[in-house]
Amino acid sequence: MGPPVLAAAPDGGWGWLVALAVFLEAGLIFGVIRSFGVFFVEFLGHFGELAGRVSWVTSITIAILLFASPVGTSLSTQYGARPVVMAGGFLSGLGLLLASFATSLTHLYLSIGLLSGFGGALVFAPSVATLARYFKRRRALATAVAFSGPGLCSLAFSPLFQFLVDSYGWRGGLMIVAGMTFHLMACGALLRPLALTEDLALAPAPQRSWLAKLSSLFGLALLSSWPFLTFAVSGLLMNLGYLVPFAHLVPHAREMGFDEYQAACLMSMTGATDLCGRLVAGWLDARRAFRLLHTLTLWTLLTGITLLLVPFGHTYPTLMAIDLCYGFLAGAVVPLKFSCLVEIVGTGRILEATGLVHLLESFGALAGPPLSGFLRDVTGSYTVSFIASGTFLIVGGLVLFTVPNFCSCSTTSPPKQSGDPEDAGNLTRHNGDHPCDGKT
Amino acid sequence: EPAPVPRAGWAPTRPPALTVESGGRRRCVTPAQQPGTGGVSLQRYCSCPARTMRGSGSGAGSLRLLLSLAALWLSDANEPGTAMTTRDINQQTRKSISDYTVKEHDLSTPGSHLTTQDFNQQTEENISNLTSAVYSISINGFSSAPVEENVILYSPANIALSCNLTSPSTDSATVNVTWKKDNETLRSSSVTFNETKHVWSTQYMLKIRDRNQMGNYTCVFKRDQEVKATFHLQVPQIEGKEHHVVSYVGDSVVLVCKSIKYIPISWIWYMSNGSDQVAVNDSLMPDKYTVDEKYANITKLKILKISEEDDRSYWCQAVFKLGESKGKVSLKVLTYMTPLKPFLAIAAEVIILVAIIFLYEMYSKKKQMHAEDEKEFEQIEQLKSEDSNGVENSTTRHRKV
Repeated sequence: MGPPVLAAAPDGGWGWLVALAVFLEAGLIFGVIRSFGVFFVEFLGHFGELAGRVSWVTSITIAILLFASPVGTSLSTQYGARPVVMAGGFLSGLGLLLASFATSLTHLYLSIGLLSGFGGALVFAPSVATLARYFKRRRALATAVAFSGPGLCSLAFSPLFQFLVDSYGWRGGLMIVAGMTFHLMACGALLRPLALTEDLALAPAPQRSWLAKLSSLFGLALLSSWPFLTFAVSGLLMNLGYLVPFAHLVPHAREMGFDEYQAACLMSMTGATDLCGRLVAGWLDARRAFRLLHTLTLWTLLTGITLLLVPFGHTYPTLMAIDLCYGFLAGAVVPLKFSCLVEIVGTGRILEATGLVHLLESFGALAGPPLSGFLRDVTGSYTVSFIASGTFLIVGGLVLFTVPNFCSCSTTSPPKQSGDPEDAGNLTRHNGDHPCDGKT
Repeated sequence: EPAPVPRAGWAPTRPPALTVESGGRRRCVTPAQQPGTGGVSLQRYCSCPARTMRGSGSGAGSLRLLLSLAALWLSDANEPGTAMTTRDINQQTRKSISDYTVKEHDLSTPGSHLTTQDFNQQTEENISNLTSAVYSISINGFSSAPVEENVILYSPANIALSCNLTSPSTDSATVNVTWKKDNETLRSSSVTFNETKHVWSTQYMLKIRDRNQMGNYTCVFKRDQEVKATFHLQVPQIEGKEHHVVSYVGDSVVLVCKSIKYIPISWIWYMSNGSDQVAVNDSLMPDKYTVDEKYANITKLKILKISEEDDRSYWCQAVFKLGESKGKVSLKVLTYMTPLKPFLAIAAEVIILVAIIFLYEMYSKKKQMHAEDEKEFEQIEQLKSEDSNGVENSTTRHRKV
């Protein structure tokens, strides 16, 4: 007998366990990526390679995560969320386990970058979709709880990773982190499938060619929409700079002369203020005092300016203060971005829009940290890297000025697309402060 | 060349033919030619111009010999130091050279044997611009605890160490000040003592040229109590890594030592062997140890094919002009079993969690199914009892009974 068919989303009960599962998943995927700076320094020393080449590890992971998230979505609609998430969790852990035996950087690119990144993509998108199904009225609260995961987890993971490296070396440390990542499978087990009455009402989609499916999955038709296009380009530019601190703040701090645990603390503090930033963003979203697009532009510019200031933090307190500001601003930018996207394209096409934005942003994620690492190799310090990434963020914020109707004070409704299956949009509806573009 | 043995036929009054070394020159004496091969043999021994005196008259020849001998004796007597050995000569030639080039050095002290080291340093002193610095310590009162200061010296310099003692008492008793180096009292030739109001200050001038001048210099003020301050003159310290570097059997590891501010002349790596330190010879074992010195202030020792015996301490020694200093890096070698145990424990825990979750789900589903079955059963029963209303009820009841 299959799962009971419910009239409406339960908005509680098992849903809270699903929220807990997504919380842990977000923490295990993004918290690990954020705290990877500790391992970055070890790879630099062991493989004797340039910072540019080692940066590819983090950037490939995030890029594959973003790029392959539509694959996760489509697989989960076919087979259900639970098996896909458990398979993704297994792949993620396996990738890290294989990485602990790495003998070259290429080995790391393939095992951490490709395998763990793809596993993360399989985990994240279906989990978020399941969470959206379990909650309707309280969706905002549930997603806020769930996406505080990366912030809280990176708070603990950064010093923990340093401790693991001190006790077991980077190989042993990766092995134990792989064990931790296998908990993704346990989180996936919590995602009980839920059958809602509205699913049954959905008419089966007509058979389309795989190209049409792909294009609808990625929402390529959206590219013709000018507001979306500018928004996506802005997202691409922002991603070029946004991810650099997660990759290079710890090595930069070590080069400035701070010891291992001080540098690890910087990253964990970023996680703590990231949480505050998200909450403030959610509050701002609820208030609707200003137009979301204006708020997003302002925060993006501020984040870019903060990154520009990072090279000027010569003492530990100043660097920590700049770092806290960055964490706060960056944490707020992510949910704001998503809300703006909903505003621009409407909830009907949000799924495709998210997929397409992820796709474009994955290129930014792929290029950002290696470019920053290359600048460091050429100039000898991370100063130019941070200045460049701050500049990218500022340019991305400025591009947002070109979104049509920027200067109007009221939100314009997105153009209605005829023939859109509204139900499909309702099934995986993401609400206001729910960051779905993978940068949590 | 050995002095030719005088032949038996010669008159004993004549001096035998000798080769005399005097001032690096050799004098050859060609005696009168004897019939036979006498002259020829002499000529072979002495590298003299071939002056054959064959056939000359014996009388004229002997006179010439006498004259040349007399000239020989006379000239030899005038040259100083006939009995000098080669070593003395070398020293004197050196001294004469140094006299010319080092103009400012005071050679008034006779018999001073200039060694090569002094010579080099003096030329350096004249050529390079040396830094001058003053390091001072202030002492408050006679009852303060001994003060210490570390002075880092990287290259030869002229330094002045100064101690200032402020004492509030108006006691006008004299204060004696002495300077000591490593508990040996120094001559006060470079000490200046200044006494104004209640501040006694003393300054000791030092020319740091080599490692012998490094050490602990103490100024001691003595009246009725004694108070002292110490300057520790040392080369820049190298920081190793306080926490050990972890690596695995069969892996490779890179040990790094840095000296950011001061650039050493060279680096030497040592490894601990029991309680003493053995130099790491990377040229002897190139497939095991590689020293990378791309930059002068960073040295990297790469150890390949690590085994359990490489679990020891390593020292990187930086050689400076004024001494050496060492930094310690210790290596810890683990086998893959060490992190594998926690990993397997965590993996087992994950499997247990997943099993618990699925079992709970199956259990709660079973309960739900049971509850639904019971509901259905009750519903059917209710329908049945409603259907069989009236007469049939009693008959069924009768039948049951």
